[in-house]
This record gives sequence, C-alpha cells and structure tokens, in this order.
Amino acid sequence: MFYQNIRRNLKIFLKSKLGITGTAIIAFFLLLAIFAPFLTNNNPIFGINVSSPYSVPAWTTFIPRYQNLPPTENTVTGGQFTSQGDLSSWTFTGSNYNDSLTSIPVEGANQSGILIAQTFAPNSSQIVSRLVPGQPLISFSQAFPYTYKPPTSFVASAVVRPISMNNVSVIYINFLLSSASHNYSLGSVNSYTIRNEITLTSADLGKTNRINISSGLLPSSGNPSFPITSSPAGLVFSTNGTYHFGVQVLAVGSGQSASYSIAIGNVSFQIIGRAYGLLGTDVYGRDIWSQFVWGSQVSILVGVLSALGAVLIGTVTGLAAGLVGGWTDEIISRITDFFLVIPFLPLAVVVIFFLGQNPALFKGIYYWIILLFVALSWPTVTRIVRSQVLIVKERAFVEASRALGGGSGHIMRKHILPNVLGLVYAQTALLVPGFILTEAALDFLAVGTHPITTITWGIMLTDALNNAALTNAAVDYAWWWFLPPGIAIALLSLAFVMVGYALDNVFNPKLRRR
Amino acid sequence: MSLKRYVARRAVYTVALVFVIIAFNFVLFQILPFTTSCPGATYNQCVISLYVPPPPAKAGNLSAIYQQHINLVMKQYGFDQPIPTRFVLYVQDMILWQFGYNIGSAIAGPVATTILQKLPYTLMLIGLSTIAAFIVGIGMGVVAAARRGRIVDIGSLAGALFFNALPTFWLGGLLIVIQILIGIGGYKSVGLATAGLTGMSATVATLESLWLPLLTLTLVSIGAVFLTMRATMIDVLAEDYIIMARAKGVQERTVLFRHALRNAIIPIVTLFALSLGFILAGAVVTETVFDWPGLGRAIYDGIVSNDFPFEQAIFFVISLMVLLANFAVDLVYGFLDPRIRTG
Repeated sequence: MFYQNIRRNLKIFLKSKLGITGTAIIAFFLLLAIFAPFLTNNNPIFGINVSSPYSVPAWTTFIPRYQNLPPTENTVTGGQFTSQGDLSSWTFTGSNYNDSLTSIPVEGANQSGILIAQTFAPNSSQIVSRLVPGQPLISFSQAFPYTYKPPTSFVASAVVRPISMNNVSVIYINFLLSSASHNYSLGSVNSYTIRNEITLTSADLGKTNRINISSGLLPSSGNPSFPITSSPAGLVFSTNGTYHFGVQVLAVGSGQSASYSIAIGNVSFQIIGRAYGLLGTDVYGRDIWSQFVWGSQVSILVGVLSALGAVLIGTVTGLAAGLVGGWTDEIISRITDFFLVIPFLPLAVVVIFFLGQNPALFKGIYYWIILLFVALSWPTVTRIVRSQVLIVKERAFVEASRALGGGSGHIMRKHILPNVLGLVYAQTALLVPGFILTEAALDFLAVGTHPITTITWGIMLTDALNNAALTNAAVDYAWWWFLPPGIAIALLSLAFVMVGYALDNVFNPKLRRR
Repeated sequence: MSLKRYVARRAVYTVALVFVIIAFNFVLFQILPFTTSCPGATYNQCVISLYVPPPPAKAGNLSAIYQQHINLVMKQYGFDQPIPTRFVLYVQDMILWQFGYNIGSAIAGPVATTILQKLPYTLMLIGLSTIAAFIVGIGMGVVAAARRGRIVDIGSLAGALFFNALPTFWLGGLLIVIQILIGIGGYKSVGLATAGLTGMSATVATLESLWLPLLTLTLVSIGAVFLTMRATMIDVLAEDYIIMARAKGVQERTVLFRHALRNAIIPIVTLFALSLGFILAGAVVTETVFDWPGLGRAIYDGIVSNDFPFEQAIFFVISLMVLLANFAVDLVYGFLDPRIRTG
C-alpha cells in the first residue's frame, strides 16, 4: 500500500512543471559537483595561471568586441622529437652537423629529444666573439600562422643538456622568432633582444637545463578588446601572417679542431592568449570554470546536509512534543522558542570569528557551518511537525484506529507518520535555499580572515568584489567572473524552492484544490 | 491569563534569554582559547598582552617588571579572579554597557561609543528599507491575491521568488554595474561622497549614497513580505464574510482593503519580528558591499582586524535589539489578538 502511495505521489509530482524544472536544475548541478574531477584539469584554488588575467570565455569570440582574441596555444608541432616525423617538421640550417633522436633524463624520467653534434675548425686568430665568421651556427625552425589580435605574452621553452665539449668554451642557445618584417632573437646581441641568451659552459656538462623565456606579462588591467601594443608580445605580433619560431645553437671554440654535442628536447612556443575555456580567467589568470565546477560541491553539500540534519532532529523532536505532550512538549517548545529569536547571521559571524582564532578547528569550517545551520534551524521544523501531529492526532480516523485496538506504535507508523512525512519532504527542500544563500554570505564576510582551502561560489564572488572587477570598465566589469556564481546560487536556490512547492502540492491536498 | 500576567511572562522570558546570550558570549570569548592572535591565551590574557607591550628581547631583569605590570592590569580588571566571579563581573559590564576598547586597526576608541556612532546609520538603512519592503510587499500581495492565477500574480510571484534566491552581495554588485552602465555614474561611498562637505550638502551627499544600498536591501526583503501577504490574503478571501460583502455589492476595492487586508495583516506583524534578524543579516552584507558606515560594515571590519572586544559586544547588542523587538511584537500581539491573552 505504501508503495502504491509513492507511485501515485510520484505521478502527481511528475505532472507539475515546477517540480520537473526544479529537479532538472538540481540534477544538473549535482552532476557538476560529482564529476568535477573529470570536467576540469585545473586546480581551482592555487591553480597555475592558465591564460592572461581577465581572459574572456573562448566561446564569446563570436561577439565583434571580442573577435579574434587569441587562445592560449603551443604553436610548435613536433617539439617532443619522438619520431623521424617530428624531425622532419623542422627546417634545419647550418653545415657539418649530425642530428639524431636521443633521450634526455628530466627529473628522473627520460624524455625524447634531438642530439646535435658538430666538429669544426675554429679560427684561432680571431678574438673569441659570437658573430665572427668561423664559429658554427645551427638552427632549426618552423613556420606557423598567426591570425589573431596581439597576445598578452609568449613563453619559449626547451630542455637542453650538453653532452660533450672538446675545445669548446661556451655553447649559446637562442630562441629565434621572425615575422614578415622583423627578425627577433629572444636573446642575442641585435636590437630586438628580449632576454639575454642562455649560456652553457663546461660546468653544465651532463646536466639537464630547463629554459623558459617569457616576454613578460601586461598589467592586469589590460583591455581585452583593443590591441596591446606596449608589450613585447604586442610589438612582435602586431600584424597577422606567417611567423617562424626556432632554436639556434652557437658554439665558441679554440685550437685546431673543436667538437661538441648537445641534446635538446621539449621545445615549445606558448602564446598566452586572451580568450580561455568556458568561463575565461580571473584577475590572476586562473581558470574560472574549474572554480565554478568545484564550488558547486560546497554549496550543495552545505545546503542539503544542513537541511537533512535540521529536518531529522526537527521531526524527531516535533513528533515527541506532539505525541507525548505534557512536560516533554513544554520543554521542547521552550527550547525552540529560544532558538527562534537568536539572530542567525551575527551568531554565525561570531562563531566563525572564534573558529578563525583556532586554525585546528578552522580546517573543517564547512562542517562547522553545517552544524551551526542545523543547530539554528531544527526548531522551525519542530514547530511545523508538532502542530501537524496535533492536528492529525485529533482526526477521526486516528480515533477509529484506536477504538479498533490499534497500539500507539501502530497509530504512529500507519497514520501519523505518513501524514507528517509529506510536510517533512517539502520542508527539507524549502530549507536548502536559505542555507545556500547564508553560506555564500558567510564566505563573503569571512574570506579576509583565513587562508582559502576550499573554493566556493561565495568565495568566487567575494574575490571578484574585492578585486574591484565590478568597477573595472577596462575589462568589461569581468562579467564572465561575476555573473556565473551568482546565477548558479540563484538558480540552485530557486530549484529547491520549486521542488519544495511541488512536493507541498503533492502532499497537501488542500493546496491542490485552491 | 490576564494581559498583565502575559506581559510579565514574556518579560521574564526575554530577560532569561538575554542572560543566555551573555553566558554564550562569556564561554566563547573568555573561557575558550584564542590561538591566532595570542597562541595558548584566553581572551583576557590576549587583551592584556596587546595592551602591555612585551619588553625588548635583551631586557634582562626588565621582564620581572613586565610581569608585575601584567599582574597589576590583570588584577585591575579582575582577570585574576575565579571563573564564577569573572562571570558576575562580565554580566555587570554588559549591563552597564562597558564593552572595553576596540583593538583592531580599523576603528579606535571605546566599543560602546563606536556602536552608538554607527547605530544611526544602520537604523536609517534598515528602517527605510523595511518600511519600503513592507509597503511594496503588502501592496503587491493584495493585488496578486485578488488577481490569482492571472499574469500579474504569476509575474510578481516569479519576481519575488527570484529576488528571494539572490545572494545580497551579488545583487549589490550588479546594481553598482547597472548604475554605471545606464550612465548615472559610479557609486560613491558615504566617506568619499561627504569628504570636505559640511551641513546641508553633507546630508544631501549621504542621501545620494544611501539609495543604492537601500534599493538592494529592499529588493531582497520584499519577497518574504509578499509571499506571506499573498498566502494569507488568499486564505482570507475564501472566508464567508468576504463572499457576503461581495454579495451585498460592496465595491471590490473596499472588500480588498477594508475587509480582507485588515484580517490578513496580523501574520505580517509576526513576520516583521522574525525577519528583523534576517534584515540585520542583509544589512551586514549590504553595508559591506557599499561601504555604508553602519554596524554591519563595522562587524566586517572587526572580523578582518581581529577586533574581538567589538565582535562580542556587537553580538550582544544585536541580540538585545532582536529580543526587544520580539518582546514588543509579543505585546502588540497581546493587544491585537485577544485569543493570545486568554488562550
């Protein structure tokens, strides 16, 4: 009979548009929370900067204002040197050299790379200088198209390991970059120097060096819609067209004959773009999507667990007060009276303030918040359940059941509980939005007081407010940062309200008629 | 129960609750340890160590003098007494409005003075927004109930549920942006707006800064008023005496506002008392977003600067306000509804 009831109630619930919409929204966020680890690779809290500060969401580039903003991408293909195919994607210049595939130990693991070996006759009568003839110069480069607005910056990187140096004092490594009109060396003596070159001497023999050359970041207030011309990256990529990127090896030797060999691997040329991912990046260039996805966990967890806890305690105490009556009822009612007048947020602030003073306690802050929410809201449920029990207890069918010899356990199971439970389901759903909103407000008030160990929607919003993203017209008020968490909080709260109303409709036949 | 007994009972109950709040504060701040500000110390030791600067590292026998100094201050404030005695002293302090001094960097001076300075700003914000929310909420509730199921009802219901579901500080931020976008110009906090102004022009500037926080707080408070009003109105409109009034040809407007509204307004009075806590909560967030110089902003500043004398005092004062408001509403109720007195 009980299961028939469930099926009938489910049917009524499924007929309600409100209930269906609400359930769908909750299911969406639940999936987001559960599959967070699979939906994003980026660490939401101390994540690396995945793109420029205030990168717009990648999909917005169809809007004229954001058109052609570059994505973050590695322009190099075959920089890993794992196969002959990788080798042939590069154009080599130079003479009297050998190249072959090799492996380079990098941090314990072996990576593939290219081994360049060369024997040459240095011109000993010359003063040793890099640009004099007689010193060998080898480079390998490849072309790539660039069709976007200028990027914020770029990073060239590689792993190098000098294997042997005979009569060779220094090996220089340069990154080359050339556009249609200019040749840049990311480290050389010509006028377009961005960084000094990498110098390897015999002290580096057999050691793996990681090279990273960045053009430098712009100030974070950079406007996403206009060309960045004041930065090195803006100067280099001021026009669209074909660019060349390559690596140059230059050795300085002495004596009759000199030779060296060097392994190079993991060559990449990263253009740090201004459009990234589903939700763009924040003021530090961190991925907002990953923050958003992981943030859903706390909101749902705090909202649902608090509601379940409050409803559990509230139902038990409400049933006790209503069924037992007498002193039990009096004591429970006085306690609920007390809890109902305590100002919620000031108390929460005081408790969080206290927890902030005790780092050991503060680690489980969200569990403390749940406890606090349960402690302060079970009395509301108690009151509702108690009054419902008092009403049901006096109904004729209960009296009839008692007259037929039904024990108090039987009456409670068969008559009181089914009539109270519907109300309890609805109440659970209706409690959740308040908890979600209050949790966000607490994040907002408490963020300055402690290191952030968990990301939440509330913390995201606070971050956006504190970094004055909202008044920064230069980045279009960072709408992609500020809107999503707020909309998500509102939607999720609204969804629980919808489900609550729909459940109320199912279990409250009086409402259905109205 | 006579009205006198009813009032006396509520009064005793309210006073008891005030004591419970004081006891809670006492345990939280005076007994339990503080480890961030002063590792291993309780509140009192922490305050002392903040007031009495420690001697330089190579002070030698100076440290004995330092210890003497601390003991002296401990004695002066009664911190060397056993816990029950200290509790009595603490209750005494709370009743006498002796809250000590702010220790944070954000605010300076006696806590009681700070609270009195900031209270008018909060009362102005809360008072005006509550009045606005109740007028608009009640009006909308009556109209929606009268036009049940029509577009006005569904639209205002959806709107109320939507604004009820918005985080206050998100709405505040959004309003700031909207204000900029529609060309009124950026929001100026009171401190910025009134800088260098005196007299009338300062008042005008304050009011200019007030409207945005006021709008935010009103928008988030309307929902609850509207929903309650609508529900009670729907119940009341189904009563026999309304059908009777309509049947005898009373104008619809008179039916709504004379017959129905009068009877539906009682639950709203309860709502007012219960929502005071929530409105205060909204005020804390709103004041922080808009830098409004009230108690809410001070609470936030107090958290950030570890100003615990202020935090414990403000919790006590706000609880007192809410309890008194509840007490007042209980009294009003006693007069409004005879059943409560007799029942």
